[in-house]
Amino acid sequence: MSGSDAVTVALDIEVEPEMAFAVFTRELDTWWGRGPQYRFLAPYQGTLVLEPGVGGRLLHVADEAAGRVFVVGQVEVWEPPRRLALTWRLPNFAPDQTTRISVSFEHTGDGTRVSVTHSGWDALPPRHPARHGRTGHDFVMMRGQWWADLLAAVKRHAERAQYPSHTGGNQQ
Amino acid sequence: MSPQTNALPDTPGTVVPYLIIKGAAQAIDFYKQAFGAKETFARITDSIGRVGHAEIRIGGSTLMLADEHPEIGAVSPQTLGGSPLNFFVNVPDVDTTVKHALAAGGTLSRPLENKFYGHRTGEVTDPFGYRWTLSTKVEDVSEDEILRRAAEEEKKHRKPGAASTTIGDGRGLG
Repeated sequence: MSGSDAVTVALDIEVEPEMAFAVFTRELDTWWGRGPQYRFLAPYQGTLVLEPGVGGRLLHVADEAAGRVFVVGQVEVWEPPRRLALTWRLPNFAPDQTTRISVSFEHTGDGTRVSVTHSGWDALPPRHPARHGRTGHDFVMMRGQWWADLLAAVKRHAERAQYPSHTGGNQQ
Repeated sequence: MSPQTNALPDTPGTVVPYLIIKGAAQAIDFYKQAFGAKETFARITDSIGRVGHAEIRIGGSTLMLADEHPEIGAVSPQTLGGSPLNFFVNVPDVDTTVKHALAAGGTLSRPLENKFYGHRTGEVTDPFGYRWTLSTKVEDVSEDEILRRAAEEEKKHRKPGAASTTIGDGRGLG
């Protein structure tokens, strides 16, 4: 039992769940990484859009005029400010291959614990390019580090949004 | 390494202990309750609940921890039958910290005691097999005085005919 069907990454963020949910969804493009590691279609810039509500899509609009848009997935659960779930496909997935993202926003004493679970990897064959040659614990840590970097960006962005003085613009 | 890569990431500290723990998630809760630890980085967990990585801060120090992963040789004190590592922790009020650590489920493996070198220390073994010497400085003692008291301590403890057990200035393992 390798335990590599899913990876969960959780981080404490010092804002209320409403703010954490809003930043995670509405402001997705501002904190989501840029470049080939994080964007789906070349040249790995453009905009990421999460359409709100069940059935909404997660889109990478790489070049709107040229029609270069990739649909990452579709929202399956939309329960602000507590839970969000969507399907997730990479450009190198076959049509019948999909994984799932589930995000929870748990109110803690000091703020919100945001947990992302990315599951369904066992459905992909061992040699699938999305695995980058990794299996078991190595694969969990690769995926985990990827989400950890993104959650760190959510935290930076959300805490800055919460406390305007962090921007340096409103300080006395 | 890409040009943007920082060779020395901003993780505080040059030497950062990495604890392998049977029950890493419970251990994080224990360290929060016992030592006031704060979780400072994303916790990565696999689909059978094993923590692959977590980071906490106790006072000004960072510790990393993970569950056992025998497939890569990562095993805990419980599997090894003990830990040779003892963490020395400087705290502002050792009596209070020991109280919290015992309330959280630790056991007192060495009692609270004022040491000749000016610290008050007690050792707690956590439920996962790691030992923590908790210490607060309670007296300024000069080097000369430490040596004098160390010699006295040695006389007190030495059995007739036994070899000296004191190493260095006598501070070893308190």
